[in-house]
Amino acid sequence: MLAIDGLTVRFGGLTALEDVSLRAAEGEVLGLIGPNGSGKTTLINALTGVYPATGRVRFRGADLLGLSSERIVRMGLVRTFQNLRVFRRMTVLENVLAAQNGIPDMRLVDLLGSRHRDAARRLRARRLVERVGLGGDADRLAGELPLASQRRLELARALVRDPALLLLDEPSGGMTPAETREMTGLIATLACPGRTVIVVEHKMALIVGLCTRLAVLNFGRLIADGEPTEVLQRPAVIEAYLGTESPVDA
Amino acid sequence: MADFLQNCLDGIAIGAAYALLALGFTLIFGVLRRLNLSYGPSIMAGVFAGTAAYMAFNAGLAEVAIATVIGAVVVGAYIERLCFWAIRKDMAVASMVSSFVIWMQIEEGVTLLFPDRTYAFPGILADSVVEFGPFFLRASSLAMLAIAALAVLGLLALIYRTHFGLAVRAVSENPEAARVAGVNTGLVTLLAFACASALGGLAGFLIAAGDQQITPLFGLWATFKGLIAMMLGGMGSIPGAVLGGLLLGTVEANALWYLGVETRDLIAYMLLFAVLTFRPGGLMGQAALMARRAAESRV
Amino acid sequence: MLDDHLIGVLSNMGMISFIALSAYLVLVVGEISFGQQAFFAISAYASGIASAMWGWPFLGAVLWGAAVSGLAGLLLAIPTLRIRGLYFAIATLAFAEMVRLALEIFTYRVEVDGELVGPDGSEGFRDIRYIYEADISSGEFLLVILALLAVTLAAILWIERTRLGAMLRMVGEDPVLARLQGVNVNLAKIATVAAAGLIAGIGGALYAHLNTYVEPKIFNVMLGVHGLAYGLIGGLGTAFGPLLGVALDIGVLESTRAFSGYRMIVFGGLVAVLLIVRPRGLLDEAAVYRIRRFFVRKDAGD
Repeated sequence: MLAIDGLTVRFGGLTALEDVSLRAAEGEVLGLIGPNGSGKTTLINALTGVYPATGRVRFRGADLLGLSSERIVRMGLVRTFQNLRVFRRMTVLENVLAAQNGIPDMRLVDLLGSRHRDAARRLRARRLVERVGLGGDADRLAGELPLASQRRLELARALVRDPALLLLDEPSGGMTPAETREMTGLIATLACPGRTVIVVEHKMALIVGLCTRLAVLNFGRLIADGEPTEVLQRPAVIEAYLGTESPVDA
Repeated sequence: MADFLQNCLDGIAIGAAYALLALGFTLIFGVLRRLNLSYGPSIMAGVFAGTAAYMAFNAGLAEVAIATVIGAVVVGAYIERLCFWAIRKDMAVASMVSSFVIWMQIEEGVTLLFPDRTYAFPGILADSVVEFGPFFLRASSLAMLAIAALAVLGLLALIYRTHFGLAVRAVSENPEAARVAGVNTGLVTLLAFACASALGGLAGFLIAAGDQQITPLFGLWATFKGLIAMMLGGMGSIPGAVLGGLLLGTVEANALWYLGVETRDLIAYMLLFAVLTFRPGGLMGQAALMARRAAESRV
Repeated sequence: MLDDHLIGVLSNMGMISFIALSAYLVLVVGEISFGQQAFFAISAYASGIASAMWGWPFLGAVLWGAAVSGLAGLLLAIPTLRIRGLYFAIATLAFAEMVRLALEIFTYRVEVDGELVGPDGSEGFRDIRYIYEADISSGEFLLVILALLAVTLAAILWIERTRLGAMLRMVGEDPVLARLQGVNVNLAKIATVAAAGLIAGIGGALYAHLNTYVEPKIFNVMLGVHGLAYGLIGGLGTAFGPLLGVALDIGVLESTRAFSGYRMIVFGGLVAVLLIVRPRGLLDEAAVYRIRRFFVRKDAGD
């Protein structure tokens, strides 16, 4: 479903990602780990058209590189953000409603809003908001929510597009252990046949419980790819984390 | 050809004034990453302080120059506190708009205090001319060119050779990190603003002394000319400001000669628009702008 | 019924509201324009040419003026698409000054009823005599202004309630995020700047016909800065915001004699202080949200 070959991202003289090749199968939950600055977020940025990249990325048979972000999103590849990005001046529900641009059943006339279709969409958006546990906050301004709730909002906003590939960039970043556990439970319900989830994380508890496969980046290169518990025992992976943080304890 | 060469000399003469104005502009942008559209009016207010000293106390040239610089620095500090210090660091555009409305305030304030349209200003070297064969250049313009060159060297030394300059560069690069490292960012910003205003006051004094008169419209003229010159050279670039000023002066002088006075200003704005849309970093600032954009686009 | 002074004040408020709404639209998509007065000027000239020189009917001339300035908006939007923030703002400033200086040169005169009529460079454009010929009183013209303003306002308020309006606000708040929600940011910006040009154009056409005379120096940058400031004072949360700004400035500051001579000092200070304490104006998004909550206690539709 997703095939990355020789993906390289350069900023001036700095190589942020070098020759990364990775596959993700349909219905899989793939964990992506690596020390700070190893290129995890850069990979997501390259996939979603935020950074220019070279190499080849095929998603459901179509080439992604060179397409604009909005085209890529419309193909069913949706992401969340490591450093939270919500529309702070809109309510929670409006954030989710607004994320439906260019989904398949949206036509040009819907821009000016037809009542009947909008009622159905509102209902769907409200259900999603409830599903991520924000039912009581649906009509609050997103900027007023605590950080953990904003992460949940990002999730609802991604789900409303019914993505085929969901890229979660540190979904538990800045959360307390209790909040992290809840988030892990929530993410576990997202994978389904027809949807692939890629999770970028630091917290091993979250990764090991969720992922069916694990890929490890270090200094912009892919250094391991395989079954999670086995990958975490590889010397190269342990070495990559040595001195910064132990992969198992963190 | 002789016309063209003489035009270029005239252009360099007026371009020296533009360069001096652009230097102050670019210093403020370099430190704050924000644009002070009230820069010209603050200089104008300073020149009126100088004119007041001249008229009321019959002050000598040196005293008038000092009064001009002090006036520009005081008004500049007012702008810095109201439009820059008080507005959040990430709201560059709000600061720009704020400085624009304060411009109206300064202009009306000066007009209330000085109700006549034109006031006399003491001249220096006003009528002397330096000849190069068939070509000539006003001595006051030569002096301005020399002072612009000195100002560039002085600024470069200040920014790259002194402890204060190091603090300025730190604040410019990353205000948060500079604060954590113990730099008093508020003070550094205020001092950099004061430097720019003093430089502007000096420029205003030289220009007014060359013209031997001053009107409140000087503020508008100074902001627009300085702004265009800085943009041509590249926002935040010190050598770019001088290059932009000289380029603008030369283009204007030739446009005036060959096309007339209305077309001269039209061409200056067309040049500005073209630079902004095709090369927003200007002649010398493109690489810096691209690096900053890349940093801003991080998600 | 109304005295002439009041009619004059209300007409001015109505006409400048078009510039304020136009600048507001650009603010909604996250950019600052110092140059909306250019579209006001372009339409003033284009509509005046249509009615005084080509003998077009008034409404046709207004629509023509608005269409030409909308097209000019498109011409500004496309080359400035790649630049943002300070750079975009200065580009609009340069554009507006280019338009004003071009009008200083622009001469196009034809003979109408034995007299030479038309724009004459810096002399301006005299004898746009439609309201004399049709014998329209200033009170009646005020009604025309208010009717067109009401239509424009209603159209903007309606768009703001739709998905399209939400899209424009997304572009304004975070263009990168908007892109990643499937929004075509470039198209949204181009369309908005063109629409803003068109709206300023309606005001310009009305201005030319009410005053019967326009000259390039009216359309200077201070006109644009006022139009911009109205949205920033009144608020960016709703299209009523810029109208509130107009009412505060012209309705209160200019019309009450108390501030005569000091108006710019008060106005400048007011805007500067508001930019510090309420950077998105009095009726900002949060205020609009609270007002709406106050009236609609529960989102009953869901």
